[in-house]
Amino acid sequence: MIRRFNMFNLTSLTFGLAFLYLPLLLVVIYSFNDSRLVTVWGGFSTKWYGIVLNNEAYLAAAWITLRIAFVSATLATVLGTLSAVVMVRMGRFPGRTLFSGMIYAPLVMPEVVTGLSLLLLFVAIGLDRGFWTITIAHATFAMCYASVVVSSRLASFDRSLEDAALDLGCTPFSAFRQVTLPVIAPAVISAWLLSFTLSLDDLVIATFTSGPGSTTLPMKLYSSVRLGVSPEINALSSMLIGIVTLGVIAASLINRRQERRQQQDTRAAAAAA
Amino acid sequence: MNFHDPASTAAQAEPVSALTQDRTPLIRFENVTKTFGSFTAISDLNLNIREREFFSLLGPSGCGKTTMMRLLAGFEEVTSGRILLDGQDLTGIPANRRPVNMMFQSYALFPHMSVAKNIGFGLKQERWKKSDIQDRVDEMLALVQLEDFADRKPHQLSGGQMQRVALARSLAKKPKVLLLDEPLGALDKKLREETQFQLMDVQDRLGLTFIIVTHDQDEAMTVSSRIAVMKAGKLLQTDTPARIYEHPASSYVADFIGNVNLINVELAGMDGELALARWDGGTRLAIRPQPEDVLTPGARKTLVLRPEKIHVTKDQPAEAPNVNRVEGTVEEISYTGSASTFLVRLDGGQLIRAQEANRLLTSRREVDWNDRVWLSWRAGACVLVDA
Amino acid sequence: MSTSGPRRLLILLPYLWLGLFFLVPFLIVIKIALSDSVTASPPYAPTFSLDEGLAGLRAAFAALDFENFVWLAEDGIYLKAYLNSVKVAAIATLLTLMIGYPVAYAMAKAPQDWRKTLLLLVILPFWTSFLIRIYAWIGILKNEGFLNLTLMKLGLIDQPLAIMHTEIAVYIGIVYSYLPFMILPLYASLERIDGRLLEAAEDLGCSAFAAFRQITLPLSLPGVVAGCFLVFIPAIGEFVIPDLLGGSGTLMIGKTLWLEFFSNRDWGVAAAVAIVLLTILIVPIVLFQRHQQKHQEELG
Repeated sequence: MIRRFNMFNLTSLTFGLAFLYLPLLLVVIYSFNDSRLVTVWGGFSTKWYGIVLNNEAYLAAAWITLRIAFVSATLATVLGTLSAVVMVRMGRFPGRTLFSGMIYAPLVMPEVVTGLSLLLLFVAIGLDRGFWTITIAHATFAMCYASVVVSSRLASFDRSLEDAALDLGCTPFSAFRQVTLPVIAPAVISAWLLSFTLSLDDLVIATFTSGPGSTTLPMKLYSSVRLGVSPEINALSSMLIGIVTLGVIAASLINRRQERRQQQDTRAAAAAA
Repeated sequence: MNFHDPASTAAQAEPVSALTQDRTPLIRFENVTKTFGSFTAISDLNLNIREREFFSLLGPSGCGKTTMMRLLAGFEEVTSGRILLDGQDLTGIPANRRPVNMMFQSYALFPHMSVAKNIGFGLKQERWKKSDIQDRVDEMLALVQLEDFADRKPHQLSGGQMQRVALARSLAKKPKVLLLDEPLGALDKKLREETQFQLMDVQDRLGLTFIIVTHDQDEAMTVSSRIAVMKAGKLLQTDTPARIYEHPASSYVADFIGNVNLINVELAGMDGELALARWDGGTRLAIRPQPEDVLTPGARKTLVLRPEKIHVTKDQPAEAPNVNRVEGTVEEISYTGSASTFLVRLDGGQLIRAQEANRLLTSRREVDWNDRVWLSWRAGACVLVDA
Repeated sequence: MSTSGPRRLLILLPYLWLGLFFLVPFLIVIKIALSDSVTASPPYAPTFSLDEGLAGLRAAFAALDFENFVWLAEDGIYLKAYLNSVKVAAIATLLTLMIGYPVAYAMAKAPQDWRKTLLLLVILPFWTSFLIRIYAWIGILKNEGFLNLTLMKLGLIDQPLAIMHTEIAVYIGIVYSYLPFMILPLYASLERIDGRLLEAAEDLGCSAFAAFRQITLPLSLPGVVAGCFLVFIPAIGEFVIPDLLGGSGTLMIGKTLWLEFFSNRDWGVAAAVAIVLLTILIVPIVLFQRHQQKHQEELG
């Protein structure tokens, strides 16, 4: 049992984490810079946040991005969970190899290729590009990630729980709904969160599949970033960093508290026996 | 600790001996075969199980006993043949519509539901009224003495408590047959013995048919009215525990249940009621044959002799026609508390295992390593099986 | 389970979705790569149209050729872009490994109750926007950025270092963005190593370093291989990093595809570039999958 860090390990961790966090920290610090010159400190100010929050274009882009992320994550989670069930539970069926290929290929496909191919499809079938084309594109590549997340949980799921439900009178469908789904729910939620984040974060595929009037936040951010560093982008980035950080920390705290309570319960039960 | 049935309406148990005879069987396996791909799990098997039996399927892992149970529960379909329950052909009836419930090896308690929800789960599927479910769950909780645990989650229970919840859940729907898959495998030894008696008590009180799958011969011997010993998808012997132990049908069954000396002999002839056999062409042994034994002089047979039936003495026992005596040297003594097992090398080179209860303190034991001893057993203490 | 209706529906739904939105688009890419570019909308010919019936379809097929691929082969710039992508991805992967290994090692050796927090700290930046993470480096690396300002203030340099818009900036961007992909599999394989193995090695006379070299390193190899593939494969097709951090001289194939499509509006060549990019990726992907499968079997 290791209780302390040794010097070497402490040094690597410090440098590693500094490398990961310093760049983001600089962005956050300079988002409070009063000066327009991004590298010269001109005093503390929150004015850039006000400017960003009053910028219609950013707000519109943020709103459309959130809507796309919500719808596509939901679609991706449903489709991904279905695919996971097919992959883990269905055994052999005609076309299984093709199916597993189609599940795994998008994970390693360069975004530019995915984006290009979907755009070409939408052009070929004459679908107007906009909200729905981006949503479909995001759902398609996110469902593969969702499927991987749910599959790995499903693979370790104790099949006898389902057998027990069948034995007690459930149909296969109601056994899945009443027993399997609640038990794998944390994985399904993770899959949704991952899909949601992937969609929020995506620039390349959205750029290919978007149309007029459907500019997402990453697309807006990208066109601003190309013009260089600006305090507005610092403020916008800091807000996004803040939201994500709070979300992830909250999720992990809840998770850890549940785990700890479960451990305590188990220990108490063992002691009482 | 004893289970008491709060409903106290349970049928009075008849003696097992009356039950095991002259009844139309509750469950019939008729020429049942089950294959998985090229692997044959169950091969052309016939078996009758009667109402209110406590029936054990016993065998090493991979012998097909779990497959038998899963066929009965409906998780697998027979490849050929059929299974009848109460005269009804079960073929094509899915697991959720069979009047059979199962207690799983891992208990399979739903981790996201309370103890009460777990027990009431099967009733909810049958759309019982809420109040009726509540009553039945209370009754079941009382049966397994877990009244105070209704709102606990499975992970808040000890192994023994989980086992009892699993039992209560599988009994809640009043199944015709309860299947128990290695029900005590996850418990430690002491709790296991205690629970064995609880299971027998519940079965007796509720008057149900229990079928238990186990690889633990002691467990099967303790709880069952009858045992089926399986090997490689076939039934080797189906009989009461005492018959299985004392009159095994084959040397495999004899060897699988308990310790045994298997001695290859050649039949020599008869001496009144006793059969005479030659051991390694030398020693003559007397055996009291069973009515069904076919005794052809010159035939090769295997003599099944349990260690505890053999006496170990330093003095030569008195000669009698129905007593077998051989002399040898003690090679090894293993002490297990209640008894000691002696490994004795006979003068002909054979090794015999004999067991004596430790009636005296070990310090007073007469026989020691390398002592010359006499082994003796009565002609009626051993049986012949086919070699 | 039997092949019942609901079961078939369950398979069909995701199957059809992936078929329509993954497989069909892919076939269209192949088809367009074989078409000719024209100034029209859509900017390629021939287009399939069912109005003309089977004869039209046959004519359309006959018009397909490898002209775009010939173009790729003849113009040296594409070959250079491919080679450069592989080179940049390979060097960046090595750098990521060199930085990631000590961090993953330190995490695996950290006190038990620290490990979860450290894992969270490593993953956290991965959840923040990719663009923002690249953007953060623009502010650091540009001529009047934090790095140059700091170095000049310390008197280490007189002239700002020109890092921005060079391949070095691209390396930094890739290492930074993909570091979690390297650390996670490394950490997983390092953490799994039984501490008693090292005690046994030292008991048998190994020095701490020799024990690391002979026990820890070989046992962490599966993690090294997995991490390298997880960085190398996406890095090859990367677009955002070379576009924002690299200069006009930094040729990478993802960026080339983007330019062909959006700037030159040459869909045929863009599709051909995509096909060649995928062919290049097939080798590492297949190797990776083999490795994962083997590793899984060893664990199972």
